[in-house]
Amino acid sequence: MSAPLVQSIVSGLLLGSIYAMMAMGLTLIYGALRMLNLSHGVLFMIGGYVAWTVATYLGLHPLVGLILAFGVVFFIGLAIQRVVVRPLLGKSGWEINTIVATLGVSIVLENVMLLTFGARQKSLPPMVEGSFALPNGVVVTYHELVIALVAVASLVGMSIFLSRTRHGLAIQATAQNRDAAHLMGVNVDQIFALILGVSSGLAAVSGVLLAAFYFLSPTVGGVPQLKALLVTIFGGLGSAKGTIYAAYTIGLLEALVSLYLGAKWALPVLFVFMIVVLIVRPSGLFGLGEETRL
Amino acid sequence: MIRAPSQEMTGQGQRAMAWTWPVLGLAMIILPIVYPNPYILRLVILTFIWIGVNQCWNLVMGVAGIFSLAQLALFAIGGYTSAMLALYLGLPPWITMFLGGLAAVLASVVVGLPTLRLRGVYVVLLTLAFHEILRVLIGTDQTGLTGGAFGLYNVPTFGAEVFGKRAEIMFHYYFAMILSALTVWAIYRVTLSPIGLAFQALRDSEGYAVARGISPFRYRILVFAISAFFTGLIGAFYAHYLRTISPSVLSFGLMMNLMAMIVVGGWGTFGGPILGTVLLVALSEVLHSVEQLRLILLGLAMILVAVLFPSGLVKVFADLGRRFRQWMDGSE
Repeated sequence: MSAPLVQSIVSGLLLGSIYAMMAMGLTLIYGALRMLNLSHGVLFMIGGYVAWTVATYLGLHPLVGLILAFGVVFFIGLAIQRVVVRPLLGKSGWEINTIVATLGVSIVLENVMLLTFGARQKSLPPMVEGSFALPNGVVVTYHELVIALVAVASLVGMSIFLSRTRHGLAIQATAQNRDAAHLMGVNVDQIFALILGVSSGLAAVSGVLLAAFYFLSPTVGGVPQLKALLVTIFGGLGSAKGTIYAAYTIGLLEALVSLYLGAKWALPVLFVFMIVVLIVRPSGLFGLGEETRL
Repeated sequence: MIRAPSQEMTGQGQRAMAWTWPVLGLAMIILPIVYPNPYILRLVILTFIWIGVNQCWNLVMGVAGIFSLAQLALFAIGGYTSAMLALYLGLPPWITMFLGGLAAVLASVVVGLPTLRLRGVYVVLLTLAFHEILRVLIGTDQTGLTGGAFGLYNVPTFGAEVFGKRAEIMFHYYFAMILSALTVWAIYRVTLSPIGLAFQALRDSEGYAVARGISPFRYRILVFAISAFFTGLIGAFYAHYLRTISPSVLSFGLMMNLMAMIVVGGWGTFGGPILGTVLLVALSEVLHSVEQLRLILLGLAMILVAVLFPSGLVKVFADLGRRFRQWMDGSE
C-alpha cells in the first residue's frame, strides 16, 4: 500500500474514534429519551476550552484538562436535564420542543463563550509530544495514539458500564421501557440526568482530543456535531453497536474521499451515501425498527 | 385531534383578524408616504422578506409538521439562480425571479424525494446536511460562477433607480410588500383548502390520515414544493434588491434567527411567524451594537418559549385577549 493511502487510513481510524465518542453520547440520549440533542456540538467546544484554560492559565498537563473538561461539561449536561428535559417530559410535541430548546441552549452557550474568550482561535498543546514512523514512512504522532486509546477505552468503558453496572442496567431498562423501569423502582429522573451528564462528558472529551488538530473557536462544534448526527443515523438511532461500526465506516470514508477527491467533497459524498443507505435500510445499519416507534 | 394552533387559523381567530389585517395593511401602505426615512424603510423591507420566508417555513414546519431546515437553502437557490441568469444571460430580473422560484421547487423535489419518506429526526438531519453542503460548495467554489465565499456582486436590479433614489426605495418597499402579502395570502389559502387540511391531518395523526386515503408522501412533496416556490421567489427578490448575494444567507446564525422568529411567535399559527418576525427584527435593531448579547437573549427566548409556551406568543396574547374580554363582559 502506498504511503498516502496508509496515512489516510490512519487518519480515518482516528476520525472514526472521535466520531464514535461523540455519536455515542447522541445515541445514548436518543435511545433513552427519544431526544435529538442539538447542543452536543457546543458541549464539544466547551470541553476544548476547559482544557485550554487549564493548560494555559494553570499550566497543568492537558491530561488534567481532559479530566476536568469531562467533569465540568458533565454538570452542564445535568443543567440541561433540569432546564430542558424535565419540564418538557411527557408533554406533547416533545420531539420538536426539545430540538428547539437544545438549539436555544447551544446559541446561548456559544455566545457566552464568544463573550468570555473572544473569537480568536486558540490552540491546545498535544497530550504527548513527538511521533514515530511506520516502516513505509507514514508518520504517526503520539497524540494520535492517545486519541485512539482514550476513544477505545471510553467506548469499552461505556459498554461495560451499560451492561455490568447497576446504573448502566437502569439506563438500558429505561431506554427499553420507561414506565416499566419506573415500576421496577428505577429513579427515571436520576437516570436521565446521568445520561445527559455522561453523554455531555463524552462530547467534551472528544472536543479536548480534537482541539490539538483543529484550532479552538466558539463555532468549532458545528461540523463535528453534524457528522456525529450522520453517524448516529447511519448506525441506526439508539443502537450503540451500530454507532461504533458507523463511526469507523464514516471516518474511513471521509479520509478516503479527502485523499482522492479533496476535503471539500467529504460532506457531499457522506450526504449522498447517507441517502442511499436510508433508502435501502430506512432505519440505519443496526436500526431497531425506529420507523414504527418514532 | 386538531390542536389549538390550527383553530386560530380556521375558526375563532377570524373575527379578530377581520379587523387586524386591513388596519395593519393600510398602515404599511401609507408608512413610506408619511415617514419616508430610508433607514426605516429598508428595515421594513427586510421584515417583509423574512415574513414571507417564515410563513413558507411555517407551512412546512408548523402546518405540515415536517421539521425541515432546508428553507434558507431554497432561499439561496432562488436568489443565486435568478442572479446568475440575470448576470450571465442578461435576462430581465422580472423573468429570472420566476425561474429562481422554479429552481427552488426543483431543488425541493430533489431533496424531498429521499427525505420525505422518512420521519422526524431523519428529516431534520438530512435537510440540515443539504443546507451545510450547499454552503460549503458555494463557499469553496473556485470556478467564479457563484462568486465563491464573497458572493455575487452587481446583480442587475429591476431598473427603478432611473427615477431617483427615493423612487427606487419606494418601489422596492411596495414590491416587497406585495410579494410578502401575496405569499402570506397564498399560504393562508392553501392552509384552508382541502390540501391544507390534509397536511394538518398528516401532522396530527398520520395513521388515521393514511387510513382516510391521504398519501403522505405525495402531500408532503406538494407542501415542500409550494413553500419552495415562494421562498425562491423572495430569495430572488432579495438578490436583485440588494444587488448582491453571498453564502452569508446560508449562515447558521441567520437560520437560527429565522427559526427563533417562528418559534417565539408560535409555529403552526397564522399570525405567529409574522408577530415573531416583527418582534425579533425590532429586537435586533435595539441591540444592534451588542451582537452577542442579542444572540444570548435570542437563545434564552427560544428555550423559554419551547419549555413554557410551546404554542408561542400569539397563543399567549390570544389567551390574554380572551381573558380581557371575559373580564370586560363580567364587569358590565
